[in-house]
Amino acid sequence: MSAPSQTLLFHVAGPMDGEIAEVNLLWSRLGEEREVRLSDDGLIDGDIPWDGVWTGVDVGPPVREVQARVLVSDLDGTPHQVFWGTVAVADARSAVIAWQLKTTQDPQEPWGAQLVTAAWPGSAILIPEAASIYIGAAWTGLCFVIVASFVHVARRTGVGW
Amino acid sequence: MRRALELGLALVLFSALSAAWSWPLASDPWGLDIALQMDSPNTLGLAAAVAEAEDPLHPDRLAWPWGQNLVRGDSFVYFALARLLAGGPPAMPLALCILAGPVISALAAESVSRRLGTAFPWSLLAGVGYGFSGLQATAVLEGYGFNLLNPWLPWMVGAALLASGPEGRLRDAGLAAAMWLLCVLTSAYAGIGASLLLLALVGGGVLRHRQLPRAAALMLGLVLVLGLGWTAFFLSAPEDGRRAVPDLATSAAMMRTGSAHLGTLLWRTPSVDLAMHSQGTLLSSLALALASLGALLRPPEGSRRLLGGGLLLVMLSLGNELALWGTDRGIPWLLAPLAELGAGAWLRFPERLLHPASLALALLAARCLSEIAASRRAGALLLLGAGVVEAMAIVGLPGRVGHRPWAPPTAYASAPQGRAVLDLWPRYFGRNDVHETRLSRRAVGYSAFHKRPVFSNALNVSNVEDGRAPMSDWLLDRASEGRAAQDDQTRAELEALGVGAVAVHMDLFTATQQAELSAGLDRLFGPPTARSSDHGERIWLWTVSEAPLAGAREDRVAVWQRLQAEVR
Repeated sequence: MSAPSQTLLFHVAGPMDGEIAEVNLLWSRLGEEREVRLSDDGLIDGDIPWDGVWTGVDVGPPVREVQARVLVSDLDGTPHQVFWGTVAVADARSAVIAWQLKTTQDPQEPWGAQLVTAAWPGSAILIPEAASIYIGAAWTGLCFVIVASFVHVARRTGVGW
Repeated sequence: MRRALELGLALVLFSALSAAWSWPLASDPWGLDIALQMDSPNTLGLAAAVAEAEDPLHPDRLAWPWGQNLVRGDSFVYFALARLLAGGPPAMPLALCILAGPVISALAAESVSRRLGTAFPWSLLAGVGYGFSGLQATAVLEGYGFNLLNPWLPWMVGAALLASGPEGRLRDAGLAAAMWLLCVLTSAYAGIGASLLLLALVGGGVLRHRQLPRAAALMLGLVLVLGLGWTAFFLSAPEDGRRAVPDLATSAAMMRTGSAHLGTLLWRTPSVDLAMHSQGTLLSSLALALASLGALLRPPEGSRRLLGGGLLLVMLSLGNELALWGTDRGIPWLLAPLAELGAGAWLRFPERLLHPASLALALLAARCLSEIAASRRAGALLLLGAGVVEAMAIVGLPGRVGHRPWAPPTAYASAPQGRAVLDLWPRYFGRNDVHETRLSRRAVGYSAFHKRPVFSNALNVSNVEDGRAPMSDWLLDRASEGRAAQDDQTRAELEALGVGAVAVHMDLFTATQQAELSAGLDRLFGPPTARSSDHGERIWLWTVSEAPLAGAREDRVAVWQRLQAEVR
């Protein structure tokens, strides 16, 4: 039986205007130092080229958390650390870990990164959030409309007051 | 015969739904943790500690060296189940709660629904709406599986409706009071919710019939006596067994975090699973529509009381601020006075009041469905199917669960038996202190399998109450190069404290910290006894002492207090 393996898919969503030259993620998988080079050229399965979402994959023995540094290099090649910290991983088979870049007012550190559930092209953290709300609200509305129509019919046939 | 057949069909449907709803747990029930948030290892570790302790209300294995005082433990029903299943796999009580709990709860709701006049198969909707509600899914994802096993609440409602009616019998009163007590013993929130629903049912009956029937008066009297007994038991806990009282601002913030919000009451976003205790889709849209619009049809006796009680609980679940999301500041709401009195630590999760609310709405929804079926059977079948679709797809539990093996890293197996393991990881502060809590919970979960005592407190709400972190600080200090002169004293103190091994979670330290810490622990205890890189973590374990544990608990507590004072 082969040893269990865990696929970690890393996303960093940045601006779509080509301000970023390189995105790298440094971490240690059970003591083995790893450097994951993220790309936005569509070569990784599922990645849409040049949409601003940088993608990288790391496969290996399962971990319960990722202690990572995310470095984003600008067009001059200067790396900026946008995240350093611990991220819990809830699935020993596969997991997606996503960050959204945020611009700051600091010229030395122009970006910060925020953990998000899903990376989205551009700077739209709220798009997957809003989509879920639309689906939920549509379901609630549908329930009320259908139930109201059946209740209406039931009242006409003498079930109601 | 027909009823037995219907019961069998309900059992098959609910069991299949439960297996699919919590998938993949059924594929490996004793080996898999499907929670997404951090508390499931605590729930598991508590059960294992209680199951094997001499004194089940004070197991030694947790909160070493004090032992874990469980007088304020949340679920005594769960502890009883753990004792009953002692000797089985450590994950058995929790897995059974998650797999069988919704089935048993749903069957109870279905049977009460029939007693309220709902015909089969429409009564199934009551079972689905209560046993597989969004709040039940939150309990799975948060790791509080014992909340799922609550057939007492439907049985209490059924008996209370009878007892508060004009023909109420004393037997119904006794049954309702007994079921109320079991709700209290299932969890504090289940008890509070059951009390409020009971008051709404009896109060509504008094308003309607202009009298308090003898059986209802007896029921209230029994509940009062049982409640006073439970309160006396709770207050018997020593000071360390009670919860720390936060300042007023923290109290309000705690309650706000655990409240339902307008945006999470009926809906959810992916973020609720990332950062919001997985609180989303707490209430069923379908049940709400059927229960509220069903009031336009022939409502049976007790319907308005159920609807009123359910909606009152929904209002209260919104907590101390009426807000769209937990991150927003809202307007002061019904529980604001309690939060301002500092009760936020005790009523930290008002959202859990939705548990009885979902029952009330599910019972009414099934009744309305039954009425609709009289004129539009196909439409009623469609709505029944929609109830199942809602539980699976809108609540969406199978797509939200985690997938982690329970098994701990193998290095723990090398720790001496009978002595405590001190887990070391870096201190997390500020916004990152969630990792401190998460890792502390994990240490409790590991202890269920390696069976050595740990310092983590399984009932702590804030890290201030946890005894592991200050001990870790003390040892990290003593392991530093400048403390080498005290090495003999350090070893003697750890020995007297009952520590058998130190387990270092290596990957959480930086490379520099790892080197310094390893050097210090090598100096103190010699090279590591075991190193493992499996089950998701790299653990290096140093043996402190293999000598049999000597002395009394009080002696070890005295050492602990002296070392704590040194750290502070």
